[in-house]
Amino acid sequence: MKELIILTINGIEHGVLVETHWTLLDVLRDKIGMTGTKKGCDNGECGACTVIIDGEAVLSCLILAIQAQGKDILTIEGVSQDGKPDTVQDAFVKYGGIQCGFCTPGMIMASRALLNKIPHPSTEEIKRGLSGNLCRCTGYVKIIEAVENASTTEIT
Amino acid sequence: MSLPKFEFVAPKTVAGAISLQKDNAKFIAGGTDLLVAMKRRISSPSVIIDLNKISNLKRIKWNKKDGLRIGPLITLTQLKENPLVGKHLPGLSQIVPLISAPQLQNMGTIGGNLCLDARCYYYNQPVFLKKKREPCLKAGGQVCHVVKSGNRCHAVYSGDMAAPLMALGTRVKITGYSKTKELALRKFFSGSGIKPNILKSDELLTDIIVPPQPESSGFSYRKLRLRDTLDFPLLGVAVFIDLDEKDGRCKDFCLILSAVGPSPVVVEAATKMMRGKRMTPKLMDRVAREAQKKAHPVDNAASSPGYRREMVRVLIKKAIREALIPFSKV
Amino acid sequence: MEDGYVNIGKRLPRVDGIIKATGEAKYAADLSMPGMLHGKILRSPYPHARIINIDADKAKRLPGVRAVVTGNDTIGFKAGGISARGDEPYLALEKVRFIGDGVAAVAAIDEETAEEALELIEVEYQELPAVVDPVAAMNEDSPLVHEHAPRNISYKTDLSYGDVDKAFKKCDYVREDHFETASIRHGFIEPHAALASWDLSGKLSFWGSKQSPYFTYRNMAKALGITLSRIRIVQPFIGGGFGGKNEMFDVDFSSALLSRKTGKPVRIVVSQEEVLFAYRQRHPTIIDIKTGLKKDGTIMAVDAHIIADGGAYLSIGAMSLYLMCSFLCLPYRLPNMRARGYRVYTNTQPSCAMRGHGVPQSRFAAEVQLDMAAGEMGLDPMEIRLKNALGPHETTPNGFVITSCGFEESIIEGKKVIEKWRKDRPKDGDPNIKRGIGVGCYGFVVGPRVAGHNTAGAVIKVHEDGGVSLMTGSTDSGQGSDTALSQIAAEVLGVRLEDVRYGMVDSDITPVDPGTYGSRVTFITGNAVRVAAEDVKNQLAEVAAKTLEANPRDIRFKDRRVYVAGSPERGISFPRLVKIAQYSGAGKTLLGRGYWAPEGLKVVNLETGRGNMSATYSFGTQVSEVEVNTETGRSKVIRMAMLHDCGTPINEMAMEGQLEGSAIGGIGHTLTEEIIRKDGRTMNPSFLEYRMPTALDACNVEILHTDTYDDVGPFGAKESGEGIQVSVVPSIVNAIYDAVGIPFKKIPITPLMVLDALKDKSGK
Ligand SMILES: Cc1cc2nc3c(=O)[nH]c(=O)nc-3n(C[C@H](O)[C@H](O)[C@H](O)COP(=O)(O)OP(=O)(O)OC[C@H]3O[C@@H](n4cnc5c(N)ncnc54)[C@H](O)[C@@H]3O)c2cc1C
Ligand code: FES
Ligand code: FES
Repeated sequence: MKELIILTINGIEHGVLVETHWTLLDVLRDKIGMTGTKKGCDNGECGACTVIIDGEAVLSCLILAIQAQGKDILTIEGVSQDGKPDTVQDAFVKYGGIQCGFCTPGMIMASRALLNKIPHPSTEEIKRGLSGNLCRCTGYVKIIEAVENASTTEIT
Repeated sequence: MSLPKFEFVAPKTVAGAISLQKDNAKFIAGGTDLLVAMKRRISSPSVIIDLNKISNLKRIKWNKKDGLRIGPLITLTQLKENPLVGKHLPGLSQIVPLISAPQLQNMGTIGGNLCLDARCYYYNQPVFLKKKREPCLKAGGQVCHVVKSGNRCHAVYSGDMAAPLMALGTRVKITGYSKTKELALRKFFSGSGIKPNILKSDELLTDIIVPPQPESSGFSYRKLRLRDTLDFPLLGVAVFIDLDEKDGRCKDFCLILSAVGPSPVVVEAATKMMRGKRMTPKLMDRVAREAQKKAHPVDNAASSPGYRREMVRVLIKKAIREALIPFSKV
Repeated sequence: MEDGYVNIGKRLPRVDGIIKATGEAKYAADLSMPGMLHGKILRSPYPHARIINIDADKAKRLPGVRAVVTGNDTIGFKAGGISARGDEPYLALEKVRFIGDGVAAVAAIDEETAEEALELIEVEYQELPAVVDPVAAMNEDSPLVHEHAPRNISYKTDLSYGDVDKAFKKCDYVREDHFETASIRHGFIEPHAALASWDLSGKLSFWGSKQSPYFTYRNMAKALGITLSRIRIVQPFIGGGFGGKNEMFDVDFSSALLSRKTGKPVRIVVSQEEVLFAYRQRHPTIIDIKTGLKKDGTIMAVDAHIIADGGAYLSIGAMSLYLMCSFLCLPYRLPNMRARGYRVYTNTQPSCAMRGHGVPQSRFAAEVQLDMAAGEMGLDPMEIRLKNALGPHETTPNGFVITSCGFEESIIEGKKVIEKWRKDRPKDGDPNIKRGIGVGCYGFVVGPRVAGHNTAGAVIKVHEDGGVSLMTGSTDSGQGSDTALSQIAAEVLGVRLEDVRYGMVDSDITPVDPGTYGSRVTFITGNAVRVAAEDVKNQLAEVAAKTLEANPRDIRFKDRRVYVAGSPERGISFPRLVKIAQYSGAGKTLLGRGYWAPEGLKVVNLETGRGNMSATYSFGTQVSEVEVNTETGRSKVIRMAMLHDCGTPINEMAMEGQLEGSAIGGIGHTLTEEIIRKDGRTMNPSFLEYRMPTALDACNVEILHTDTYDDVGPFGAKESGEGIQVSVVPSIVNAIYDAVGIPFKKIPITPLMVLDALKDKSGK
């Protein structure tokens, strides 16, 4: 049951032929070739697949591609602007919030969404905001620091 | 594992959704429960009916008489951020952060939460690990792997919204092919782990109606879990108290336990014990003990039944104390 | 001298930071090739069974399926940490030995078809009695997991130094305790993934998420029966390993075998569920330990008996067991020691190395027991540690030679932290919340000598504009070694970190290397990089000497400048020098080469173990403060301090990151993580039910230096990736002991255990 759908990803429309049962995650990675969004668990438990749809952080492993039609999808590939990393990405690099980097795209998307909602979150709010994203490497300490720093350098 | 194949439809009206129902079709709201179940082949519907295009189901309204009328497609985040909820029932928005994690709150709906399937240690495993095990009652078989000798399914209803909503006297509207009905949320649950609610396959939950709360009332929901995020409840306790502010006696009291059985458990005895009485530590203790009798957690979750039973008492006291906070100023 | 560094010791961001932050970094599952097929693995549903027959006809006939392979398509190679004792086929041969053991693999046009095909493979099994409990496994009449191993003993270690029995008689205080540790998982978020491409000239190219690509290189050749020169192993970015991605697995082998069979590239990505039920774990252990002390707290003797559940195969388990036993000799002076260890086969997931490799289990037991002893003897836990702490230039009875050692300082600093914390503790608050502070200490290897190839190599190429390419055979599985190694190269050559391009492992190009384990990369490969950089630097110094009319020995390289010592104005820029070297006269091609391994180390006999296995050792003290809720039994770690001698840090920020990751991971190991099995079947193969810490568990981690300068380490560095992981768990357990007066001897410490113990205590 293939259907041709149009997905608006990072502001650009992509026409893709999908099966109704394909997840947005699989379509992003395997059909469109945007492999920045990661598959950690495929079951909603790790946050590695986080993308932002219509302003909210969501898990692309639990969304059907076909349901994402007509929505504004932002992936990690669309976060940097004019060929430059954005403040959150910069802060993750600068403050050591990255180790193996596998959780990083999801973490950055979750942080991005958090800062869009709460430009100057408290530490507790940051922890809550990232509590759906697992990271085994960093122990979160420097990730939290990175988000704190991004929130103070961000021009809002 | 990939999702099984299905046909996908996205009707724009409730009537459309209902008329599309075939034997093996499933409604999808946020999909955070259904899609995981499908990846585990717990559910393999031939048709998926997407409710997200039905704008009627995405509203929150308030009137003095009926209170809050919440569309089932409202996401948990929308519930948390909605000004009407914030104004008239702030306690309800405070529950949202206790559920799953931010991304899942953005996706999961209140309706999906109430319609959540019951969960069990054995039943919710990946397909592969269930292979050489006899199908259990919930999977259409004859045995229960949790209570070996039992002939009942012990899967646990683990939604977080039901208990607090029940404590607040919530009613739900169910829309079927030919008729609609409105009933108390507590009547919505079937008591069976196999299918925890009474919805027929061609019925939709279309409204969640939370009555206005008396000024003199307090409310609390406490959740037991091992991590402060992601985890389903190992136990949930919701308490509603209406106090006569003059003499401090209970006008009304409601205690609901969640995640201890196939449905949330209404501890009726507690209501009787409390009505007309003043809250004392001793009484609180009696209520807690009474509730403990009604909780029968079994070994179908990460934590032992003994521990969860023990915690019933602890959480009830915490919940009652929290529900009484608005009165402590008086 | 140190003050002058431009790169070393600085908080420089990782070299791969930006491409990881933008999602450009490619991991194995992100790679694809034209015409690529997708593979899946069929796994055993039984803990123990004989394979009678495999019928894959139906699967092969499914449209879209290109090939099915089973053990019968292999040459029967069996892998194992000790090659002569290899016992693990990549696809089951005659038997399956745990639920999840790989039986067959399918290649199809997409993942779904491959999944569907698995369902169509008919395997006829004859179920065999299984043994899943390590203690029961050691009974004479237990079923055998491997016929060659009577009583299911997979490996045995028997260490004995001094005269333990005599020493105990002279002790004023002796206690014996029984400890247990659960099955825990590495917890990397990236599941195993591999892409293999067999070309028609008979060469294999392979990309896999491997911490030690050269292990796969060797075993791949052996398992496929081809020469090493026909194999090319390329390392993509690795999404965490922690020891769980060292070995080659069924996914790696099957992708290659299927590619050979189909003539197409084949990619296999396993699911996280599979990772959790079918791949490696940390050895669960049962430890009986007896310790004797003098009245004044001097430790006189330790006698330990350890049973480690090895699961179905040998893996790297001999080493794990040896480390578990021998590291009872660190970090305290211990004149008399006996440790008997049994690694036991069971029909469960194989156990292997995991951060801290074997040491966390025995150190947990020893450190908790030490606090119990201190408590009963009325001694301060810190004083007892201080009294027994090993110092520089001591040799342990088993022959570990301590050189640089900041252990004593770390305890002294730890004491100060404890005093401070006790003072600034809030006085009032919820009476149901009990606070406690606990400590744990450790000593760990830095690049141990193990059997086989142990040397690291580095190649440096200087580009004509002054840029530098660095290649080594070591992998960065997240720990930041690419950055540390680049910093070393940059410092020696007097350029900046951003001038260095790091080339990841490609066995066609990069030097052979053991890979990432045993905290060896910064220390050993770092030295190789230093040697390689010095090699090119010397070549350049010759040229500079001529140009600047000075002695080559007086030429200095710093911050992109090359000048004569003592007169910085007599110099030229680094790029200019490179140009001169390359273009003037006959011209030079600037290549530096270096290899390095510590001298004088012994390949320790893992059964009897005597000898120095590491050129230096890292040390540290960990302090943790917890809150125990006596109503719910839940414990929460509220702050930690890590006092750590990692030598001299190459990159402070990266070092802190290692420590913080160890600390927060350790909270999970102590309080919530446990693989639960029933009859050999994993009950919680998901991140929802295998509960790793989340951002909400992250607490404040103070990192305090008690650093030394190690004479052998590159720029004085030792290690920071693994060692301190060892002391995190006991520090939390001891903090709970301090809070509620109950020493827990089993981890994880669940809320129920706490409540039960509190009840028992008040009942008494
Ligand atoms: C990692 C993880 C953690 C979680 N933790 C929690 C937790 O802590 N607490 C908790 O309560 N839940 C938790 N959940 C479950 C789930 O996310 C929530 O319960 C969510 O609110 C479900 O809503 P949904 O819209 O996503 O449901 P869906 O998956 O869309 O639907 C669930 C079921 O309800 C039916 N349904 C949905 N809407 C209607 C309707 N209007 N009428 C009739 N039938 C309907 C569907 O057919 C389906 O059978 C967790 C899930 C995951 C993956
Ligand atoms: S991959 Fe989607 S949450 Fe883990
Ligand atoms: S950086 Fe490795 S999982 Fe987060």
